[in-house]
Amino acid sequence: MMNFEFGLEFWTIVSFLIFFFLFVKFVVPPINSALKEREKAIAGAIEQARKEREEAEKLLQESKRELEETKARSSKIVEEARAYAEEVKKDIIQKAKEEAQKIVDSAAKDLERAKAEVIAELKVEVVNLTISLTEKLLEKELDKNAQTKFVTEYLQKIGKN
Amino acid sequence: MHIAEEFMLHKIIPINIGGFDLSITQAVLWMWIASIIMMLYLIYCSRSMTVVPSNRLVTLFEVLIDFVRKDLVESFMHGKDVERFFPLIASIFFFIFASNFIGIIPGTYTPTANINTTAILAIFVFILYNVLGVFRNGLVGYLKSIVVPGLPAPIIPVVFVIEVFSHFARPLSLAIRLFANMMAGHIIIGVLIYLALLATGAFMGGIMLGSVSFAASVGMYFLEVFVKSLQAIIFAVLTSMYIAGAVAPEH
Repeated sequence: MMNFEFGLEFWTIVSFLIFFFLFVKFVVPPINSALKEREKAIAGAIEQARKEREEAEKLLQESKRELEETKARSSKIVEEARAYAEEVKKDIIQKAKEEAQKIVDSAAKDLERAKAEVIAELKVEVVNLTISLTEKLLEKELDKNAQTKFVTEYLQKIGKN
Repeated sequence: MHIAEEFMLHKIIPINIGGFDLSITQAVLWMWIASIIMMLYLIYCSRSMTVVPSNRLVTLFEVLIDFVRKDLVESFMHGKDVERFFPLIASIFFFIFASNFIGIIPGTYTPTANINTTAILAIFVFILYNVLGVFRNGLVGYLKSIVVPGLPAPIIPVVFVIEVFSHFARPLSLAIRLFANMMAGHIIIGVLIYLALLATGAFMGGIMLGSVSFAASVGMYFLEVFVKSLQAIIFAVLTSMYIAGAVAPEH
């Protein structure tokens, strides 16, 4: 083990150089390409993740916007419904008022008519009363002629009224 | 049986070319077996790396590669040098790691427990980093970079000589550190096992001693796993440091 062995030295260096050559030829290239591939894969994965995150962000924004829109639309619908209800209410009130007015109006007409009738009846009554009263007052002093004349005039007077 | 026999080289296939003995000994054989297993593992794993780690064997490989790249290379080098020298540092690490680890299988020969193996690797590293230094900075620039700048003129030659010595001490320490660590662990385990074997058959109460030394040998065995990993790392780290110092002296 301590003596000089040329053969061993020769074979050692030859073996090592062959080993080195094989290492450079067969081991280094696949390592480098594998590492490159790995780097690429990692970069790709990072890129993918970034894209997906952006996509998610976009989707989130979109859904938020949609929600906003929906909210706006729903409040609008409610608003419209309320307005419509208001209108309907007004309409109903209006109609009711009109109806009431009509009723009141027709009642007034009836009253008017009744009044007219009553007045007419009163006229007749007054004539009759007047006649009878006059007869009583002027029983003996007035003749038939004067009586008739007097009554006619009186009636004409009443008719003017 | 003799502990020293463990480290004897036996020729399996005798080869003699031009007076040089290039026989395939069991050291070379186990080195090849270790390297081939390691290389097959590396090739398999590098090809089965998936985008999402799933296979445990591959994950271990990735952890090792990552460790070599970050802690052994990027700690000392910058920019393009990382990619340039990573394969070399990784090869040194995995080659020595394999050679160290084949020794934990009983009956094998640890190639790195032989000074010749570690010495030639250390010499290779030494030549490599000096050549790289000269290539990067030019011969004059490299020699200048050996001495720390900003020293008073009279002591520059002295420092230069000391630095040159320290540079030559680098391969020596590299070689001896690895070889001695690999051999020592082996010897200690061997000694403990022999002691256990001898003691159990030798005298009354020997069973006790035998059990204790056997338990110690098992403990050493696990310590060895740690040491073998550590020494492979140290060799690779120092190589990386030396190259970094040579190609970028300002650091």
